[in-house]
Amino acid sequence: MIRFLLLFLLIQGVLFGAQLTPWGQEYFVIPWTTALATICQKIVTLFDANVVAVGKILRSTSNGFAVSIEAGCNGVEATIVLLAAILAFPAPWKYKLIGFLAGIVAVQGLNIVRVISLFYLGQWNMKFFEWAHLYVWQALIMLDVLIVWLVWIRRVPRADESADANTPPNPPAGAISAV
Amino acid sequence: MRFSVFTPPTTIGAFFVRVLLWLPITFLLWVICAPLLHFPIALAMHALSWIGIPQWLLDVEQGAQTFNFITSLKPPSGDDAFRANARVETVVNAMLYTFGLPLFAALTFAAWQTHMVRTLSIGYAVLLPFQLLAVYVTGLKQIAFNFGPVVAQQMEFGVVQNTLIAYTYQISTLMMPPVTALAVWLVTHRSFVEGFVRRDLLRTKSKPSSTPAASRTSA
Repeated sequence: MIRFLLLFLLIQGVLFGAQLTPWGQEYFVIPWTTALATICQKIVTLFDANVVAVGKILRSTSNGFAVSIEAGCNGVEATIVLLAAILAFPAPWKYKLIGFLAGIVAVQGLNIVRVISLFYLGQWNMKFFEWAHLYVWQALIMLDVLIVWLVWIRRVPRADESADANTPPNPPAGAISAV
Repeated sequence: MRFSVFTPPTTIGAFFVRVLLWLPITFLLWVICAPLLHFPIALAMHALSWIGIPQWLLDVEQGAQTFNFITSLKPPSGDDAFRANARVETVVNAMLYTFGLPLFAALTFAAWQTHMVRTLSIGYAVLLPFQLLAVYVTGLKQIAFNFGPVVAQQMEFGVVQNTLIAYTYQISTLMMPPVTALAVWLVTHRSFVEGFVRRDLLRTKSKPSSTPAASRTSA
């Protein structure tokens, strides 16, 4: 448990620091956030044509309301937490990769719901927007990370299961005692 | 089939639903009790300012959901808008850094294990230092970076200190509140989580399989 927690915190700290660097921002965070805004805009235009995405900003052309997807709302931190939790947990690399890819879909899927819901919540009531933005969605996204991680662990074979699969079964006790 | 939030859930899905049901309640309680819950942070802040960490921090006043940092730093003197004895103050919204507590409480209630009061107390106590750090660093960050170079010069912080403040502020704001809550909950509910995933959680090595007694005696 201690090994896991230390590894988890270490990986998280390193990845978080890396994405804060100018290089991390330029080549990862900004393209990621821009793509997120574009995806949100594409989804929203399915039922509301008056929305445009400019960089990381999602804006309503009908009333001028806009949200800027900043750090904390682009799902990068949640993804880092999930990646750190998956990497720190003892599991075969194949399962880690599958877990991470599926986790990105789950976390970013919910994050798209977050951005779109906040976009419309802000047009309706700023007080509710602030609450949902600062507290509720932050908690829900991390809850999503926890659930994804738990589901992933459940699908990872146990250490002894994978060991059993790779080693031939023990011969009967009698056979061993005769040696 | 009966559904009750007052029994331990048996599936991850049921647990998730319970967390969602408990979250509004714990968030409401957190908002109502914020001044009380933040009181230990206020005491620690008073202690820090009394000791003089940093030296220019005179006091930290607790509001309903905020902390007001009062400093001996002077705003830029060339600006006529300030009185001669004006000093820099900044308000930090503590709620931004303590919302991990209602999340932890919702997770704890959703799991519905024995000794919940004890678990909640442990969680509260463990989360407090992280909340204190976040509020403190945010106050420093606001003073160091938001008031301009004249105020920053009076702080006498070097590049390393400013970088440390900026990094700690970022991690305290963006990750620490929910991540610490989840980590503490995981540690305090290890056996409960093991029940879900049906494994010895976080075991790094498989236990050696028990060898038949006959083979050991003959060897």
